[in-house]
Amino acid sequence: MDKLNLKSLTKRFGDLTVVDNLNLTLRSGEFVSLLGPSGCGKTTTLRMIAGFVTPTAGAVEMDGRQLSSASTSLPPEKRRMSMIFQSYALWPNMTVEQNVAFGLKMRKVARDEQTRRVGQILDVVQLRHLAARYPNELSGGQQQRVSLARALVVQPEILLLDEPLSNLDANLREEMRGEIRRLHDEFGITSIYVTHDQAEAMTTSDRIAVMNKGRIEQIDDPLTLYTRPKTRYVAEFIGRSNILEGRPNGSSVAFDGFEVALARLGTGGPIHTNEFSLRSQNVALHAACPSGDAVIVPGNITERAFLGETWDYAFRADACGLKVRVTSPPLNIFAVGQKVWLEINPSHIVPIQEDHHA
Amino acid sequence: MAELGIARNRDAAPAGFGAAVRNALSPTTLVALLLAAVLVFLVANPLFQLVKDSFTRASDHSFTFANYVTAFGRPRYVQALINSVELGAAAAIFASIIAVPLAWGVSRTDMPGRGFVHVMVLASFLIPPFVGAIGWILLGGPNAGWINKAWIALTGASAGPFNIFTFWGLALVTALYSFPLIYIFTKSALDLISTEMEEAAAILGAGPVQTTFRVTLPLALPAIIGSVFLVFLEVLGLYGTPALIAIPAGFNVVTTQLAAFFENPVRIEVAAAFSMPMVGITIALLWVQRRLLARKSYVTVGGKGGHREPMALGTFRWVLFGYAMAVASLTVFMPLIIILQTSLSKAWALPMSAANFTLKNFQQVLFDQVTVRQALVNTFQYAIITATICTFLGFAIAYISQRRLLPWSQLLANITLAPFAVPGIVLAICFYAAYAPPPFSLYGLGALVVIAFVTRFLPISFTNSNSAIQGLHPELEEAVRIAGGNQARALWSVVLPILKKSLFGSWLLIFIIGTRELSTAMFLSGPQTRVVSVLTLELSEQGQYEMLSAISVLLLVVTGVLTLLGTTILGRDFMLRRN
Repeated sequence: MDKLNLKSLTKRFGDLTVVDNLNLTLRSGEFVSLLGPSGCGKTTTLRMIAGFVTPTAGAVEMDGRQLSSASTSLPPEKRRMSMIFQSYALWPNMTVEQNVAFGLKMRKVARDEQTRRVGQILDVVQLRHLAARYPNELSGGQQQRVSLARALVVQPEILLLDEPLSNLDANLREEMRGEIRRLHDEFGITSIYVTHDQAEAMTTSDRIAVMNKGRIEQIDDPLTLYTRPKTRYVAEFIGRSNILEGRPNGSSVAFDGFEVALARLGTGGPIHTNEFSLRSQNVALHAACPSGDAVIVPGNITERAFLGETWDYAFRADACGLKVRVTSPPLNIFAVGQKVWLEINPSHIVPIQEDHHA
Repeated sequence: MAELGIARNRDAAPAGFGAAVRNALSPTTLVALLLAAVLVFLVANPLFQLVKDSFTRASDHSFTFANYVTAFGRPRYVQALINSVELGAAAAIFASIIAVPLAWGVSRTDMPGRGFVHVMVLASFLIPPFVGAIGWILLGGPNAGWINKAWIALTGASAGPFNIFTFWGLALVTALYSFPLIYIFTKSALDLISTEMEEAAAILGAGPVQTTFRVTLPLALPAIIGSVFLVFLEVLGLYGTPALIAIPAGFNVVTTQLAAFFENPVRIEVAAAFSMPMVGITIALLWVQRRLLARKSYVTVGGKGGHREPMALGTFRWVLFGYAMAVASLTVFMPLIIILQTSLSKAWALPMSAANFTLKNFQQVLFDQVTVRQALVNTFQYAIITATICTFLGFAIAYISQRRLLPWSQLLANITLAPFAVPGIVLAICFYAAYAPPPFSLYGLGALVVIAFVTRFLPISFTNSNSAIQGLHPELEEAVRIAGGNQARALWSVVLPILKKSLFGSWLLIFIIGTRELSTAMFLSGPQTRVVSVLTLELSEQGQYEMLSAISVLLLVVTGVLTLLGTTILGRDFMLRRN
């Protein structure tokens, strides 16, 4: 069942198009991330859903009912949504309890019902013992949990999260993104999560929409996004990719230094591009020529860097100009200049479309 | 490396006698010791003399409580104290009724003409309170005041309804020229509240009105209350307006009562004792105000804020605009028009006509009347000297305390700020007590007025410099040191060039308020060292409103021109950057 529908949503500020003809549908209970660098239009999209920004064209629909269009916009307070802000926006003049109860008060929930639900949600986020504290007396992680409780207690139609973890330090961030997913699984609230951090998006989301210059480049589940990037932009934004040039040639594709049969690429169907993505983690280096039916390219190491959990090698083929970056486990050690064999599984070579914006 | 310069000085104290001597000979230390001596002279000694005199018998200089018995033994004197507190409370309430809606309107709504309203508030801030009071005497005097005359002409009544010479008249006029303080504090608090705070309320179901009353205003409340206290204190120490209005109305407030103790014979010891409650109240309220504003988390909550949508008020925005314009008429338009008209009239009570028009008042003020001319020259001379000394001294102390060039530099800072807790008129008593009698015998010299002014305005130049230096990263200076320059070189080549605008800003601000300072000058200026503000009180007693208006116009023109200059160079709100 569709919960939220963004139809050709567009926002222009003067000459600047921030969100460009964006279409997105969320199923009920789904958790979708908008992922992209700053300035890609993800926050503006979220604020149009919330009703803080009126679209220039297109529409926002919830449960088939129109909320926003260029001509009319239901004010935020009538949308029955919740939002987690980057700054948490906890009101410093109210206690934790008062902050959490605010939305219930606005919804005219009876007093004892308010108390019960506030207590319940504070138990869920494990903060009941701090109910009488003021926000400035809490740590960053606790403030974050208060803001989650405040958003969830009203059982919103949709939960909007605007870079909620960007003010936390690294450890806490990992803990909280697990917490956010756990709460989502518990309450099943349709959620939209705006972030520029791919790890956050990967760990929390059912689907990720990668945004670039006001458009969605690709929307897929995290694994598909990683293994089958559709555009060069996505291939380079998610993980680390080698972009290979290949010329489709009848039933095979010719790359610099090797050739692969179309059938082995595992894409099915014809290919209309000269660009292919190859993840640096999906290739292997060997000190001796391996056997098997994978593609083998001889060459040597030109650069290396130890990144702590992995090695980052630069490989150059002997016979041609092929250069590939390879990510290897810590114990696969090769010296610069060492003779090596590169092993490529052709099914990891993914054709990518021409960029929308190229 | 970054800690080097600081660490050396910190270690110097316990490093033995030889090191202490070497350290004492370093130029920074010499400068700091000099500053300490200056501060003792300007601040510590006068304050000490005030307390000491209040316990001293005038005849034989022995210890006594008699001054307190005299000061608080008469119901009339106690009543003056009560009147002051009541006046302060009434004016503070009026002022917040005026200021808070305007601040909210300008900061958060789509009220039309927000920029203009802001400028009008700044204009009321710039009008010296006693000039405003003179304007209101001309407007609201019981018989001849223009408002009453207009009323009589319109209704045919035999007497006008309005009398400025009453408690409530005084409270209103006082509020009209002290409300900008509340406006400034409230507006900057509202400006600082993150938009996300309001959006969080909106998304949870609060409409604009609910958001305003449940989130926005409560968040600004500490700033509002703090500034209301400040207005209360300002009114408590105000001398000019009560002298012009309360005395003719037949009642006294603390300041006018203090002035009475200074009439022949001068009873300085009684005045000192009588000023103690005022100092006590001031210190107590400033402490409360600091506590209120100390909850910084109220305003420094970050977030990306984003694009702030002003609240749409519908037709109510015109109501709010009308209110703002009414306030502007009462504080700026009406008083200034009446003063300008009076300054160009032969007799102010007569209607405007060609026969009544004259430029003679200006000729008198600028050329004919030696006393007036002398007072004008004195005023500008003292203001220039005061502003220059204050800017220099304030910067030096701020720099030393910020960069912790001495172990006890924080103490220097605290002493510098102390005069802020002393009303101007009490400061005048301090200086009279400390430096009028031998061995200093400064009474009648311009120097006495200037040093009192310097002490009074030093907290302003200090806080200005302090926040400017705070915004300057120490690494800029450390880069000079590591490149081979000494501290003085760092100061001269980097710090001063960067801060010159902000230093000019505090010079200008102190010059402007120096030209209008009344209460500090009151007891300190002799016949040859009279300043314009003191002169206006005398002219008012003599009923010379035409000349008085001409002086006011001159003062306003100078203030206006300098403000425009400051605005052009430093931006519109250069006067407001005080903490």
